[in-house]
This record gives sequence, C-alpha cells and structure tokens, in this order.
Amino acid sequence: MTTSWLVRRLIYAAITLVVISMVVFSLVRMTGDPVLLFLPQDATQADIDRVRRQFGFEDPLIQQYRRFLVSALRGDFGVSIKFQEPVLDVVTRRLPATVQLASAAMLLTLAVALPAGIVSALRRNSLLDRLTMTAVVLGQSMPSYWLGVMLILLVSVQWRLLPAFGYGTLAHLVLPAVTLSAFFIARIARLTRSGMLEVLKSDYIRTAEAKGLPVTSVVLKHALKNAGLPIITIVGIEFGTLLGGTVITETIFAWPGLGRLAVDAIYGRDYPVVQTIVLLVSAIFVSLNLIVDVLYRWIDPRIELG
Amino acid sequence: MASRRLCLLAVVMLAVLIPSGAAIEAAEPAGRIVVGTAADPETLDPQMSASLPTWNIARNTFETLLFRDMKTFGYSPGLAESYRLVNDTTWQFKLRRGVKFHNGEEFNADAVKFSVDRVLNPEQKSPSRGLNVLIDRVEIVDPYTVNIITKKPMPMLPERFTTPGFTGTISMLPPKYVREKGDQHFAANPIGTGPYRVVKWSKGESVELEANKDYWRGAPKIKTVVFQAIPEASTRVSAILTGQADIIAAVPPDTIDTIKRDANVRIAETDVDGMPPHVQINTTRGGPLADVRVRQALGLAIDMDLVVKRLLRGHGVQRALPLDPRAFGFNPKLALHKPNLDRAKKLLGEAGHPNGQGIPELLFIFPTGGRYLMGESVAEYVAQQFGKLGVRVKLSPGEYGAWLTAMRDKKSYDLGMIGWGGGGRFDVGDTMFFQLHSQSPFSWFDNKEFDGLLDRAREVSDPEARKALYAKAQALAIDQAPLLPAHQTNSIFAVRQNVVWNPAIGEMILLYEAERK
Repeated sequence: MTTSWLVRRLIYAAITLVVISMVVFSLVRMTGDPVLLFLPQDATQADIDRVRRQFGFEDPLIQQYRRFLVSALRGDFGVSIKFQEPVLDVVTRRLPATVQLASAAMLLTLAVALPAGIVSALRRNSLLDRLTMTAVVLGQSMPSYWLGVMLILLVSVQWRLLPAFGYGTLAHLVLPAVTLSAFFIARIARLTRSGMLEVLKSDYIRTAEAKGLPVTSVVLKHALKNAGLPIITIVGIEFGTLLGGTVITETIFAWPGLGRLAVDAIYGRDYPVVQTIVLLVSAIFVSLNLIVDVLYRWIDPRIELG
Repeated sequence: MASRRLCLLAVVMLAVLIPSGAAIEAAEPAGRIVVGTAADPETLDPQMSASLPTWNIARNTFETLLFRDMKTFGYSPGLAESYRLVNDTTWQFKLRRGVKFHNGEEFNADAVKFSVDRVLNPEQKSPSRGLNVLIDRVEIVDPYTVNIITKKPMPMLPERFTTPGFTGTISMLPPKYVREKGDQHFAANPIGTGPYRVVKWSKGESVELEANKDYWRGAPKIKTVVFQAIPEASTRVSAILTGQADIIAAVPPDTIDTIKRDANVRIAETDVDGMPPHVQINTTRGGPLADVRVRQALGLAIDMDLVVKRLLRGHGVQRALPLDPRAFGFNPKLALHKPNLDRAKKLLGEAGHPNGQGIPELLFIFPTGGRYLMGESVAEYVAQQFGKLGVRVKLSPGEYGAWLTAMRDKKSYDLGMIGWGGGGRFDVGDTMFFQLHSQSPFSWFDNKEFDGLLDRAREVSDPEARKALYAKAQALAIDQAPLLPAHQTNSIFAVRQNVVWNPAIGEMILLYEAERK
C-alpha cells in the first residue's frame, strides 16, 4: 500500500466532495425561495426584501457559492435560517440520535443476516433455506413506511409491548432499528448466502473437509473468511446508506435525528442546513469507501486498486 | 362632538374590561400531561417566530396585555387591567400590579416599553414587525401606566396585544433578563409571566413545561406538561391509543372512527376560528375570469354543504365568505350560498361561453401534505363540478414552498386555494385584507371600491362605523364573486378520557385549566 496511492485517493475524495457541494448548492436554490417560508404568510414585501438582503440572496449565485466554500473550509457552515443558530450546532446536536439508530440497525443486521445466510448456504434448498429466503424477500420488499406503521400498530397499540415512538431508552430503540434494518438484513443475508455457496464449491473447502476438520472450523475459518470480502464492502457502504437513509424511519418514530432534520430543512428551504447535512453524509460515505478500499488491500494484498 | 364620542367609547371599553376576581386558592399542582403535536418549535422566543409549534409553547408560557374572552371573543383584561383611547392616536393601558416573570422580575411599564420596542426594532428582524409599523412609540406615564402612540389611527391595536403566538401579537418579555442573557439564550430559555414555565427543551423532540406556582391567576392544576413532536399522523394516533400521549392535535378525519372505537379516548373539536381555506379566482389577468358572470357561474356549480357533509364528514361548516361569524365586523345578513347548476349554465351562456366554450383550461394551484383538512379532495371536487359546465381544470398540487411562491404570483394561475385563520385573527377586516385587498401579496382581486372600504375602516376608530364599512365590503365580495363559496374546517383533537381539557379557539392549546380526573 503505497503512500502515493493513498494521497491520490484522498485527492479524489476531496474533489468528489467539492462537486457534491456545487450540485447541492445549486439544486436547493432551484427549488424556491427560503425567505417566503421563513417569514409569516402575511409578511409585507418590505419585510421580504429586507430579509433577502440580510441573507445575501440577492448576490449572484457564484458569489454566494464562493462565500459558502471559503467559510466552509474554515469550518464555518453558516447560520440556519430557521433556527437562527450556527448550522454546525444544529447538525451535531442531531447526529448522535442518528448514529445510535444506524449502529443499532447495523448490529441487528449482522446478528441476523450472517447466521441466516450461512445456514441457508449450508442447508441449500432445504425447507429452512426456503423459509429463510422467503423471509428475506419479504424484508426486502416491505417499504419502511409501511413496516414501521405496521410494527407500531401490532407491537405498540395491539400488544402494548413497546412504546410507539420516542427516544431515550433501549425499548424506544427496538422498533425503529427493526424497521430500518429489515431491508439491509435481506440484502446482506442474500449476499452471504451466495458468497458462501460460491466458496463452498471450491477445492480448498473440499480439501479441508477431506482432512476431517470439524464443520464449524471449515465454515467459519475457511469459507467465511473468503466469502467475507464482498460482505465487508457492502456493510461498509451500507452503513453510509443507513446514516443517510433514516429519513422515513425517523419521521415515523418521531426520532430526533439527522434524517428528520434534513426533511424539515428541505421543506423549509433552510439552505445552510441542507447543504451541511448532504456534505456531512457525503463525507462519511466517501470516507467509508476509502476505508473499505484500504481494508481490501490489507486483507488481500493481491488486489490492485487504481 | 368627536371628543364626546371618544369619551363614550372609552367608557364602553372600560366596562368590557371587568377586573377578574382574586386568584382561587388551589391544591398543589400535580400530574403530567403529554401533548402530541405535528412539529417541534424552531425557537421559544414568541416575538421571533411565525409558526404554530412555537406559539403552542408561547400560549402557555407568555402573556399579553389583553386576553381573548372565550365567550364573547372580544377582549378581556390580561396583564393590563384596563385600557382607553385618549385621542385618535394614543392608547393608554393601566397595568396589573404584582405580576412577576418566572425569574422573579417584576412586570411593569418598563417591560411593556421594552417588549414593544423590541418588535419594532428593524435590527431585531421580528416577523411581527410588519403588522405593527403604525406604532410610533411607547411612553411610560408611571410604573403601571403606559401610552402607546401610533402614527395614524390604528383601530387594530388591541388585537396586536391579545393572545400570544399569532403573527403581529406582542408578548410581554422581561427586559432585564433578555438584556443580560442575550437573544440566543432567551430563545432556548424563555421567561414569561404565563401559567407554565419552560424547564427543558430537547430540540427536535420535546419541550417540558412546569407549573408556575406563583402565577397571578392561581397555580395551574397540572404540574408537568410535555409538548412532544410526532410528525407522522398515524404515529400520533397510535400515541393517543397507547396512552403515550394525553392530547393529540391535527387528527386526520379518516382516523376518527378508529379512535372512537377506543373507550379511553374521545374526539374534541371546535369550529370557533377554524381554518377557512377558500378557492380564489384570478380576476386580474383579463380573459373570461374577469367577467363577473363567469365567476358567479363557477360559484353556482359548487355545493359546499355537500363538501362539508361528505368530504369533511361533518367536521366543518359552510360559510358565505371565508370568515368566522364570531370575529369583529362579520356581516350576519350574508346568506349561505345555494348551488344551481342550471342557472350556472345559463349565466355562462349569457357571458358568451355556452358549454364553457372560449374558456381556456384553468390552472388550479393548491397545497399538498394535508395543510388544509381534505384540501386535495376539495380541489378535485371543484375540478369535477367545473367539468359539468364544460370548463376544464388542470390541477397543480404544490408542496408548501412551491405553493406559497405560486400564491404570490398574480400572473400564472387561474384558481388557488389558501386559508387565512385558525390563529386567533378576530377582525374580519384584517382577514379580508389578506384575502382580497389589491395591496395584499396574495390577493388575485383588484377592486378600487373594495380597497377603499377596507382602507377607510383601517383609520376609523368608532367600532360601529368600522362594522358598517366591513359589512359593505363583504356584500361587495359576494356580489363580485372573486372567491368560490366558502367553508370553515374544525380543529380536531383527540383526548384521553382521564384528562379534562377542550379546545377553545381553533388550533390553540391552552392548558391553564386542564386537569386530570
């Protein structure tokens, strides 16, 4: 793993982020005027013009972008139009709730998907395999807004087992984490199954089995380690997706995280908040990609990456 | 003569403001109530917001010089014991003594001056400033008397000092606290004179209030009130069914049957100051819609009674104009609209458009996302009825921001749905200005006679003269038909049976008198 390779990757990552910032910056501005939304429905034209000037929305777009980029490089992401406080404060306050939800969903995904995938692969075409895969397809095809509402109706309203919404305790975390992870469990279970099937057919597994090694050793040490590479990739990237994909789950469960903040900010045309969240999630995504690449080369030195 | 009438007026006003009795000795506040609302506040500073979530908190933590009388819907004494009009442009308020802010700071003339000056200061960027620009200054006469001097006669002034949390209202703030701690601290740690005080704000999640034991009207009965943001309507309904919430706001009509099946929960609704979303016709672009006969014909095709019964399932009322009959200046002589498809067709023929010939497809903008109760369905109904006249409609649903921008655009749309109400606006002239005055950024009506009536009413201090002008304006609005027949939607809440609380006005959630059974 050469330093120049790493430097090159870092430069790519930086370029990616700048391009994203440009796209977001112009996209949010194409969707309408934040001033109208910030002011009451009965604001006077004078009020509107005044606020527009105060926020600098009358300057050319290029100038506004330059101003944004220069301050962002200094770590200043501006002031939220809606909350009237530094965007960084607004965003970092909401980040822990989302990280907590995404991490719980990821752990749940791994805890369910890996065993399910492995067992399915080992008992290929058995009843167990068919049942597991049916459940997986179901999980992948249930949209989270439907699954979330159904879980609330059944678990909270009907059975009174868990709270219907809210944030704070482990009990509050269960339903949102299940809702959020359903899709990913399905994805990763299928990936594990196909990866394992591929590996189980290979010569060295037959050799290992022929040597009379115990099944667990064959499966975990020999097969899973080799089937693991694509799983690491997906898990790494999906964690980014999880962080950015909590929008619907957070809205359903009144979870005070980043996803809900993003939706509100988009509807309210709170440009600085939208920009910062998109940049933050992009940065996480890009970093995860980078980490996955590094891990790849570390696990399997044969892999050449451009 | 004029001064005698003013004196008489002052006496009448004083008579209206009968001082309330001494505070009732009450038991120690106890228990907890959770209120589930659709959104969380962006600030807790009542002078710096234009949104319902902030107002929900402000209405329980802050107060104004006057209160809304819940029986007459006029004014009753609040932080001011009385007020009178000294001359056309001077209003004198006598303040209540012994009222303290939550931090112990005393409420007096300084606080009034500070609070008004803060809203008027352009640097402050208060969204309430625009509606108060006619106020010139506040003069302190003595520690418990202030004169508020306006640049021109401003008959709407008492309205601006009534009910916290409504654009244009001036809530009373503690001057020393705000000056010492600064605006940013105040926005998160507000201090008012209200029955509750804010103890904890978990941003994006909930606001916790605690009973103000030293409240001047006597402590409230409930110790803790939590305003919890639950954006998803079906989750809000689940919250009331599981008892995680005790009161929920903005109940979708199609969930009412489910809620009613649970014996522990009841539906509570009010039609007072309900939202009156109306459909306005653009009269300013020329073409067939500039012809009053075409507009009248379109109105005759609409059966608002049917809309209220079927689409709203009875959770609303038909109205002649989108105005609350209990608001100041409502013309009680206005007759409810009667649909008549045959007459509509005849009128259209007389206007030279038999079977809608020569009328281009009408572009109809309306908001999505349940902003108005069943608003999308009402829009579809309108399009369907116009179809019966041979008038084609292109429905153009708009997400909040897009819709708001479109409503201010007087050139691109033929029909538009918007509502002015639900926030305690209790003066029909104030409402009609936004609906129909040509100077309103949202009005698609341009009628000099109508503008003149409202303009004159704005400067007439005598309530009877103002009422007469308002009545004429309303008759003209019916005659010229710039709006389709109107209706008003109820504000619908769900409440646990063990909680004693009812909505009083529109969307307002006032918890001072709430208690547990």
